[in-house]
Amino acid sequence: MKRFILQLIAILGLSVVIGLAYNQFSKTPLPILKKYDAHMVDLVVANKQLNDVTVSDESEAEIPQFDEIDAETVRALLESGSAVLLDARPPEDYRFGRIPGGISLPISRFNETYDRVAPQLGEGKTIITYCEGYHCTDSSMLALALHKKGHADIFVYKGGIEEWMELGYDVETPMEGE
Amino acid sequence: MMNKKIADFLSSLPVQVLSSFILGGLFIYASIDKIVHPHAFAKIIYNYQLMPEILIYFMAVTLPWVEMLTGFALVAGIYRRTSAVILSALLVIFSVAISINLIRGLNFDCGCFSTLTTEAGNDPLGLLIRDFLILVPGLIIVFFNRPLASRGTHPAASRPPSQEGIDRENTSDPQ
Repeated sequence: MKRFILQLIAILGLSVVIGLAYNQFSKTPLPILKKYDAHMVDLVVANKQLNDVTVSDESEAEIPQFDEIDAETVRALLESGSAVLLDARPPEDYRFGRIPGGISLPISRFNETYDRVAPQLGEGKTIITYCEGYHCTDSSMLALALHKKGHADIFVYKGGIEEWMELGYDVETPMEGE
Repeated sequence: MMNKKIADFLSSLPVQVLSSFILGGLFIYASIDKIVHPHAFAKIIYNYQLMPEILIYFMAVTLPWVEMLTGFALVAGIYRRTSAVILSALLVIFSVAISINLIRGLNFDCGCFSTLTTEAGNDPLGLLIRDFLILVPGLIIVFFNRPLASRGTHPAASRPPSQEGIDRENTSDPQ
């Protein structure tokens, strides 16, 4: 029994040491001591997939970082007219209600919808993306897709429409065809 | 008599080595993709919704190496029984996790999967059956990788000479 436990410790211990070392020296190490961040993980995974598909020269390790933005700032930017708000959720969800001014650009139909929305993403405008809430990552995926299209100044409102409603802010129903 | 024959067969060197190669080989194969794509693996662990979020990265980084090293140990015949215990335990844990999600899945649809996730959900029942099948060689090693000393308790057993050295850990071989 004692031998079994020693062998167990040897195998598991060695695995942990090698795993941690391998992670530390990899191009995009996982932050071991931090809580799981769905947005970060999805960005890395999607970035890798996109790079695999496009076979660009861009370094695989280069993951764009999108700044988070809170509800207050979203409101202020929208009121000043200096930002465009993009709703990354599927059209079915969008139809039920959106953050006022939100334009539907579902990540699931990005290629079909982008050309229609692109003219509204004028020069010098800040782009804010959102989806359901903290646990959905469509907003980050949309930010990544826009980044790949050459857009800059993109923020992700991770709180999404859930937090927006919890804060008691208005939600509106889009017009037919929007 | 019959039981003893089966037990002798299962503890014979060819069966033990074959079991080690199947189980160890499968785990080595399974670990490679996880080691290459730790972020995607972290996402899979997260989607199980069973681990505290603070442990997900640690698991994503270390678990594939446990599978890899234990698989290699098993194939190489180092710590064979201990390795088989580890991998069998992992299979049981995986089965429990899949079962919990199978039960959960029947009750509610979480709808939380990202649209860019292209991997289609595996059929959980199929996964469970596969897990149990892989568990068979593990259990053969765990329960029938007997030390040579205990094999010797059956003097009538016509043990082929090739069985010598099956258990490298055994140092108290009376022969």
